[in-house]
Amino acid sequence: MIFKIARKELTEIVREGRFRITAITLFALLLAALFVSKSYYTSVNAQHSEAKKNVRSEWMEQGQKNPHSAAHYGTYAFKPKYPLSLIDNGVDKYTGVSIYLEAHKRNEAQYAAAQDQTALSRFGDLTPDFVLIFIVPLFIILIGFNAFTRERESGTLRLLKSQGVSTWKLTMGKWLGLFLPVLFIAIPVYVLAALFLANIKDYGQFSLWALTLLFGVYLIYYAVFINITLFVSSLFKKSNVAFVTLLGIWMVSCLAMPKISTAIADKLYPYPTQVEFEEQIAVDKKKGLDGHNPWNTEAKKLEEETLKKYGVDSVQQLPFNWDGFLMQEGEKHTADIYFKHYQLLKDTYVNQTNVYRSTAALSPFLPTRFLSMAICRTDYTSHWDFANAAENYRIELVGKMNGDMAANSKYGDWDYLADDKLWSSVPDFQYEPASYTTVIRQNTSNLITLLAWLLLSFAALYGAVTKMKTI
Amino acid sequence: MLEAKQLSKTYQGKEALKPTSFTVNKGDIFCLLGANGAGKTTTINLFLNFIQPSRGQALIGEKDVVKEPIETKKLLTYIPENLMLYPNLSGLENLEYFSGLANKKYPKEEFLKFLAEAGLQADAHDKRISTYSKGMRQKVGIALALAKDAQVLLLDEPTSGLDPKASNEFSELLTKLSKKGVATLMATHDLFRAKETGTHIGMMREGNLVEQLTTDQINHTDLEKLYLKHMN
Amino acid sequence: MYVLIAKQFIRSKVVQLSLLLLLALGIMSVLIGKQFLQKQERTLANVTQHQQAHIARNVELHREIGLLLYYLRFTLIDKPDRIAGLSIGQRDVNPSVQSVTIRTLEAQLHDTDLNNPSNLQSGNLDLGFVIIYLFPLVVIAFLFNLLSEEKEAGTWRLIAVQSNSTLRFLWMKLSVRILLTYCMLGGILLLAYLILSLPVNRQLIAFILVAILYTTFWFAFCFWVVSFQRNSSFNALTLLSAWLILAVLLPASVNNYVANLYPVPESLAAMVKQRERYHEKWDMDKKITMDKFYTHYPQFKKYGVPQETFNWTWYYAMQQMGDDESLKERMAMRAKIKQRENASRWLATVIPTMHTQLLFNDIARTSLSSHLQLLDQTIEFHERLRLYFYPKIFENAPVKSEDWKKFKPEYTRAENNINITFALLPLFLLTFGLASWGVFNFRKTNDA
Repeated sequence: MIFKIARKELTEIVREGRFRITAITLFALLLAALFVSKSYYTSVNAQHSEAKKNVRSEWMEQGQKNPHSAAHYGTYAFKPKYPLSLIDNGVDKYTGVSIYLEAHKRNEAQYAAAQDQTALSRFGDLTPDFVLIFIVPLFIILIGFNAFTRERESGTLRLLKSQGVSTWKLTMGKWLGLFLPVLFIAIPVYVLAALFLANIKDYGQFSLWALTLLFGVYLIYYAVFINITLFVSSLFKKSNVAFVTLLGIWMVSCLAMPKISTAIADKLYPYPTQVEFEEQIAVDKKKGLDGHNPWNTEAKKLEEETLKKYGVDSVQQLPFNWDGFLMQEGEKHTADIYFKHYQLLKDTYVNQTNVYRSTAALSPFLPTRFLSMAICRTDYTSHWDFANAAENYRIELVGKMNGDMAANSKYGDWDYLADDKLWSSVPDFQYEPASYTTVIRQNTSNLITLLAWLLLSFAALYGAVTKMKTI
Repeated sequence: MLEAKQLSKTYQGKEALKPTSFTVNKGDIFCLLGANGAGKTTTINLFLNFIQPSRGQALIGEKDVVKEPIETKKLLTYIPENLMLYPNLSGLENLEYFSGLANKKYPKEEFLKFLAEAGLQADAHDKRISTYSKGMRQKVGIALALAKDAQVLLLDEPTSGLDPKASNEFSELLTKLSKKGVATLMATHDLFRAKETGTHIGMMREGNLVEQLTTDQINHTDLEKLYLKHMN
Repeated sequence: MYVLIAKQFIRSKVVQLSLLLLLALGIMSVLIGKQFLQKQERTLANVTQHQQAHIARNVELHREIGLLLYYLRFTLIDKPDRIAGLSIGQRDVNPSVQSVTIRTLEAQLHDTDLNNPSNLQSGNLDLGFVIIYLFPLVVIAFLFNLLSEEKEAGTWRLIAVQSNSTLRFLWMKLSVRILLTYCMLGGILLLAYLILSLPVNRQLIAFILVAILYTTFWFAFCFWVVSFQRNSSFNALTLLSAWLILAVLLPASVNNYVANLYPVPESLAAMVKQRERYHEKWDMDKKITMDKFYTHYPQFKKYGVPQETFNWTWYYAMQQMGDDESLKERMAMRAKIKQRENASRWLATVIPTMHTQLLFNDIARTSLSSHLQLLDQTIEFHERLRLYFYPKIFENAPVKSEDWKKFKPEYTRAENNINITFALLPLFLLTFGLASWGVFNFRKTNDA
């Protein structure tokens, strides 16, 4: 019975011009988005691999150098590219993709693409995620807004009811009638994406499982919108009113709510300004050990303690190069300061994320947006994870340089030079992203919110159609 | 087959239908006459369970329509004044769909037979409803009743707006169905058709069933006189 | 008559609902604008306070002027106008405060403010957004069944018989809707004026003019679609698709197209190159670096080539070379960004949504070009600081000989010279053209 209703809904939808036009538009958009993604992929990949190769070879071929100078020379950490980022580019546009690693200083990722763009970029990007989570709901509304109102307006609803069909079965039929066209669009996109992503080179490991999960999330999201569409359509007498109402719902949940949550998050947990942040770090740094300044009070204290520990009178008698040791101690101190302040920053960010999670109860768009980015590993959490890994690598690299200097040269001997052997002993920056288990655990609340949306919207739909008046 | 027992409906204190009782037996065609707003459509809607009675019962096949909405609907077919079907589907497809909703399955030839029996010309069967005239749509409604093997027909001014020929064809179909034992309740303004086709006549005024008679008791002129008497 | 039409209109649930939603979002947008301005003010207050503390502390700590200037940051501020609260534009991505040391400038220009990128991604709900996105939707909801509702309800025949001119009747219906929308716009703008304490100046007037003209454009557009006299659902679908194309799809496509047309890979490349050149100088003969430096600044030739292992003159010469040698890349990148900006602008003139967005940002000085100007001014500011401090460093002047208190944050203002009449022309022409076409359509069917 349900299938019969669904089949009739489908026949009607397909015979009406509306569906054909919107479906063709949607396909065209998705193809365009895929094309945009592909050209983005080509250019980023070229840049990335070139820069990455250069940076590594420059590090390996920097010639003979004092190890500490090498630490100053530094290197770059590049955020790995994930195949799924071609579907949802997330916040990468705003975070930048490379971090400069050098002695004494923790840098932020630089070269966010958004900085070089006009305000037009804020209208959104024509990327697959934009079409999939922003436009498809509109498509659902467009083909489903009059699912009930049309029957009511034309009087067929009376006839249907007089045939003794239960409204819930009728609703499920209509539900399927909307869901199948969505599948009709989603499945080819899924297959195309899988083929495309599995065949691109040098872009990280593609996981079909993750892509399936991503589409699963999208389908749940679409189901929520189908429920809302049918719910509203069953509520009103006139198609026009249902249409305007649904449009309002779409606008609020997809356009306004994300912006409103941002304002709330910023209001409740403001970020420190750049100046404030740097100043606090500078103050803390000045309070402690300065590796480059042996006359610094903390340095003097450390010198006394070390001399006592080794039972010698002067730094020249130490079994290692005091300069190297001192600089490493300074480095540790700075790293601690950075760790402390970045932790504070992270707390703010976690608080803001929690605000987003609570406002997700008001818009199904939000949990979907965040889940999508998380699965594609382009959310802010992934960026933090990467930045932390880069910082650990920096500490390790600088530590190795200072350690080599301390172990292999004499105090005051700034002419000591290390060579390729030392450079190659530093492994290339390798970053293993968090496992999907972790990603899902981090996003449990988003997942629960989305599922709650699904269940509650089903319940609301059930309540509305069973109480629905025939006349 | 159809029975109203002290059936009444009140909307916000206003009585749309005062306690009314009548019976329509198998093979009967019961015509409800009355001015607009007299309660004819309310009565039909009550039998359809589209609205619920304030008091009393509407029974179809001795079952209460409120208590057994699905069971009672299995017995009936409803044709409103303007039978609206899905304009994008053909007559045949509409018939298949609505019959399917009532859990009736037939091979295609069988459906075509019903359409033919209802008097729809063969070349229209596969055309979309949007090209149909009103009379053609009403014929699909009859085909629906045939396909459903309905025991009861509920008709709400089915012939208003039909040309005399179409109206006549429709009445003949009703007579044919009544000979098969179908009980028909029909609201109408057409005194002439009521007398010709109907077996019983009920006159309504302001929610009251003021007169019940059988058509063989009265001739056309007296019927009109009686009607005007009640309406004034 | 007007009163009756207005009554009939306002009694509709859809109208009440849309007006309420619009008002709520409008007020929210103004409050968000206020929040943005407060945050900016806090930043500026911080900067001023910190610069003084920062200089004082470093002056205490360092005895060498060369080392001191390694640390000292000087601030250039382009204070956002109050009206920036109406159209935040790119000001949230690009900082209004540039804090630079006199070392190599290149990397310092790319510092961004600390931000949660998720926030940047969702963007700001400013009044500009409400006007550009939401007002058209309300206009569509008001107008899509202007005529078709009468036809569908069957009242149109009656009207056609009763009234002398159906066009006049439509005009009355239309004017009620236009008036109500303008009242809404005026109300929200008045609120903004009060809440953000906006100064009445050319910028505000320009903003209001653009807002009114943009809304009028949507009226003309809807009127034009309605003039083809199709049914309600056709109109609703057409208008909504048009909105989607104009407000969402075209800007996104144009942005992608322009970004692809002028890719900017040079930023990262420039940075890597500059690091390379800077670091190789440490191992190079000092004379090579110094010669290059003196070619750029012949006035400092007298300081000669230093002989010791480390010397501040040489150090700053190396820093200077970092900038001089990456100049070409920087210029190339700037040219590309300029090309992007120009291409977007040119394409935007025929797309009212984009055109209005860019105009709003220009008026509020929150556009990319304002930021580019600030960058240019930062480069100038940086150069001025260098030329002031170089002789002092080269002579190793005592730290105490300088009056450090005089280094307060400097203010600058990136002016946008927009010819508002010229900028409004495309919008005006489109509005006028569509409205005339619509009237023509009605006349034609009226005569027939």
